[in-house]
Amino acid sequence: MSRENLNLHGINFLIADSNAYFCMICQSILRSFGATKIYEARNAMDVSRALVEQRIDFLLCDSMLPPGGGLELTRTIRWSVNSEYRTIPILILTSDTRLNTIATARDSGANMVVAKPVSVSGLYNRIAWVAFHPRSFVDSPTYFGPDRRFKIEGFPTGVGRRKGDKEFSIGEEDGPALAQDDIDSLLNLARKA
Amino acid sequence: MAAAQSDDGVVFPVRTNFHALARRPGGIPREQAIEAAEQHLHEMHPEFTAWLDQELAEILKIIPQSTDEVTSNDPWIEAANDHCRAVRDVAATMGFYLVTFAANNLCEAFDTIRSGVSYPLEAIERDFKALLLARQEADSSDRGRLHELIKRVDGSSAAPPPACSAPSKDR
Repeated sequence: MSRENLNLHGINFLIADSNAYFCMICQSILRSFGATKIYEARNAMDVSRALVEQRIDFLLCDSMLPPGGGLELTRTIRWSVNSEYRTIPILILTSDTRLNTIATARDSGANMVVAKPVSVSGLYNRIAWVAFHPRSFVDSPTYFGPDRRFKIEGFPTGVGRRKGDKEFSIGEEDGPALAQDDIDSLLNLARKA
Repeated sequence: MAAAQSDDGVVFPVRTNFHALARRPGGIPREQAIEAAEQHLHEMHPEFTAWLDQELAEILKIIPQSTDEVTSNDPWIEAANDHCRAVRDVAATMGFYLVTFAANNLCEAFDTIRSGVSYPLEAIERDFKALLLARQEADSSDRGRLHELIKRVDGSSAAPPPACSAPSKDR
């Protein structure tokens, strides 16, 4: 399981949320993680302006961003065929954790969804997940965004989601466990049985 | 890795500037980064409680005192809900889970009203009072201000609930 450090120095973050106080807290958390360039947007128009005026590398977007919501904005970014931001990592922040909202966020092309109120470790883990487990993109007539079919290979940076979760570890590969002859003899025994 | 064409569309690998930069050697170790962030948030507590008071005062100003039933047509619902959502979304991050819990109850009441259900104003006031009591957790030394806010919710000079009538020494 990866335990790599995130190096956020020099990465341009854009926090899009109508709640100025939330933006300030989020900015403070990201700075503690090592981020140095953080921009804020209060609505979708501000986001569009920031994307033109700055070179944004990572977008954190509230699902209720005015006027049309963060999911609509995500969809717009993903479907802007000639935009350089079409594949930008987008983290959706939402207080609405109902299954259909999460599914809609996923279908709009978000890389990850983070429930509000955010926890410091939760935010770190999600950003680390996006950084260290990049997903292929799918371009289809009905969807453009990160591949929604991905395996869970443990939780981000080796930390379980709950205290009770067992640690996830797999031993190093050390050649085939059985020789081909052993496999054949086992299969023959099974066939005879 | 090349792009793969399938019935589902084209699948292609993506490595953005973020991926390239975030995976550079160096950076802050995870535990250290999280500890620093939590410490920073802790230092922001006084500022947070000042902001929280402002938000509660705004909600109090918005909630009307002269009606029995609240309906979805009432224009103040959305404004009050905005402030309440802001409190809910921030408080637990700052470590004040009870404030988020109480604010969430109030948000749910507003959402119920917006969905067309008529709601007694008295119930809204009760939820708001619960939010004020939860605010004690945020700053136990500021009971005078809390008492004043509760009196304003009551709309009278009635005695405050026992839970906030005297500073508790165990905090």
